[in-house]
Amino acid sequence: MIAAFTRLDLSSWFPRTQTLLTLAFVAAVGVLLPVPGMAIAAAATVTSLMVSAPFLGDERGRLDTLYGVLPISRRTVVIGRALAVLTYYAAASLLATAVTVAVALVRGSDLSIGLLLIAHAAALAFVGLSMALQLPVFFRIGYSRGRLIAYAPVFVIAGAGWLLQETGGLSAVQDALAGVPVVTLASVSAAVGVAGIGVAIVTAVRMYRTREV
Amino acid sequence: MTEHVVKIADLNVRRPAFEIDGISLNLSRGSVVGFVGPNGAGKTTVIRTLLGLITPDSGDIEVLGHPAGAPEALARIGIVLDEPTAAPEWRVGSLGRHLAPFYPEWDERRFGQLLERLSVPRGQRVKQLSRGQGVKLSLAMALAQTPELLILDEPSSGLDPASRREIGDLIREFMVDPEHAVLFSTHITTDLDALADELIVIVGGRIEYHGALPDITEEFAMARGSGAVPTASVLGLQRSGAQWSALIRMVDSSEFGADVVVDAATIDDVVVHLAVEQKEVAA
Repeated sequence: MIAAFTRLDLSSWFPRTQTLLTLAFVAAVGVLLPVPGMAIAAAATVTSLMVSAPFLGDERGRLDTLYGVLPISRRTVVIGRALAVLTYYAAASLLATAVTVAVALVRGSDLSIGLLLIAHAAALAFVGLSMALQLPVFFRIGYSRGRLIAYAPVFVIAGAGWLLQETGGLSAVQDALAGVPVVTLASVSAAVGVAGIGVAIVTAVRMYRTREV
Repeated sequence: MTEHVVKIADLNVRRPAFEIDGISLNLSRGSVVGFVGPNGAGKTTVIRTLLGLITPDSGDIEVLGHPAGAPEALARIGIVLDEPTAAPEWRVGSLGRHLAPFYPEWDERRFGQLLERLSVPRGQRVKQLSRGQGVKLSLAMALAQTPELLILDEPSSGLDPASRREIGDLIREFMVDPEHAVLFSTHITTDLDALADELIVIVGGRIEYHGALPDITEEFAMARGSGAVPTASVLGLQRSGAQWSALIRMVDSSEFGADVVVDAATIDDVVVHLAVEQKEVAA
């Protein structure tokens, strides 16, 4: 039933023009910005912003009522939707990787596997934390009342970056990370991402269980 | 198989905007139950509670032998709201593909027949449908699930008479099976005249009447007069200048004098006068 719900959920918001435009944006970043890995970062950023998209669709199409009366548990709805968001992320990541590799080949520039690995792991960490922050809120109070939370992960990352830059902490972090093997760094980042997704699902199930729709 | 499709005992729901106050009722198989009351009376709240969309503060609810909102019950309930619950981008003809995996008894052939009969174009997107087509689509979706219980929440508001008749015809066909039951909430009480066996009147979150539909004319009457307001047992009173009309119990009709006209009450009379009385009590 989870897979069936994921398919149903994706069919309600994935084919929309704005969803496809965000994928085009990921490709454009990969082509226009010369820094390798930027497209992968863009994939994570748009995924973070797209977490709210299905909840907006719920309210526009009264899908929250439809999902409430489907003969499935609310846990199935939460897991199915989390998988739908991750499917979008997988599509964006695949596109970003393809564009990154293609651009490197065309430009004749070096592209290390290590860079791709660390970029994807960091992106997964961001997406996981972003889902942990957003899914429980949207499942509890819906899009209309919770929409500002969609921007929170991007603001938190940007704010942390700015703070590190201003306090001179950025170089200290870079120095500290320079000594860590890429595989370790990637593993930790990926683990953070997976943990974030787990927290997102467990908390959202609790939030949605008693929500009145 | 249980005799009652719905059993509600002492249901209480208290929210800032609405209140359900100790409702108890049973709906039997083989019956079409009209559910009427003024706006804000609690009809939709009761229906949403039955479906598990609202959690009651207290009370017991059993739907088709399961707690409210249980997937086993929801798989056997067809729900028709005033708008289709479907993504605006979905095409009408593709709805079966989207919904069939969730309903073990989904009948795609029947869904197609209903769309054709109700003239809902299969190629249109849901967002392109008119209001009437949207309601018809909801009904086709609900009936294609092969439900045992059909719940309609004000589906006919704003529909033309021909469309309302089509809905009535489909309900009658659905009720050919004596195991089926219908709960029909509506403001257009004339839709119930030829359909409903029972009537529930809800006012201010309380059930004011629950009985056989034909009994309403035996139980209630309208007294109309002018001048002094009657002191006899009046259930609800409306004034218009010197004229007044009062809802009374038929057994009390002899208490009125010859200058008062007493005749049969309609469902609308009962709803309107009980609502007026409830407002005055609240004030």
